[in-house]
Amino acid sequence: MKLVIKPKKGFGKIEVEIPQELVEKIVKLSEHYRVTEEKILEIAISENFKEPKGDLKALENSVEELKKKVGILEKEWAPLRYKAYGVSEDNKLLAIELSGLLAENSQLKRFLRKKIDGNLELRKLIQYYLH
Amino acid sequence: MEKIEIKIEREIFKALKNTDVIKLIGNNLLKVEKTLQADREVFLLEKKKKLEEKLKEIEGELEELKVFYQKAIEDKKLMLTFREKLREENEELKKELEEKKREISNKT
Repeated sequence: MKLVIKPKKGFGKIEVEIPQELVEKIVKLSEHYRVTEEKILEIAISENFKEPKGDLKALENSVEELKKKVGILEKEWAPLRYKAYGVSEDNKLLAIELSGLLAENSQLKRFLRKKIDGNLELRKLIQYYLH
Repeated sequence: MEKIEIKIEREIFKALKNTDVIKLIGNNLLKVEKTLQADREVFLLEKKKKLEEKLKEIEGELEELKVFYQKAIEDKKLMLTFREKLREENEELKKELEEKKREISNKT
């Protein structure tokens, strides 16, 4: 494999033939870390090196573990949200119906000169689902 | 791949002219690997942070949703009971009212 090195600014170039054995090592690194061969050569030649600070394998494992946890919770969350929405919609319809029944009840009691109940608990529930 | 072309800083390029490039690359490959690991570490730390935030968010939402769902189920039961009770009571009241109407019309 021929390597051509050029300056970012200015003229000139260096051409070298990289031996096959070295090419294979570069390709292997490129595939393993999913970076281009150009990137590997740029780092090698520029000598702009860095060192990892911790245990990369442990970090990979912990990210995988977190991904799994998030996946499990998301699977639990979606159907529960659907069910909760369904019950809440049922309750809205019930609240409308109950509101009508309460009005009818009050009117009937008024006609019959009976004491009208406050039904506070029920009125609170109706308010909650209608607003 | 037949040919690769890279561009580097001018100063590095100048210094490279008197260097055995192949030897330099060969000697530096281990350090390159460490550098790639360091880059991946930065990427993974960022990903881990985002996942932890997301996990916390979902856990919170899920807890709220469970409480909401539980309350909705209990409320539904309660409202169904109230509906039954009111329906029966209203039926009774209607009968009573009809009875009263009949009494009044009989008197007149």
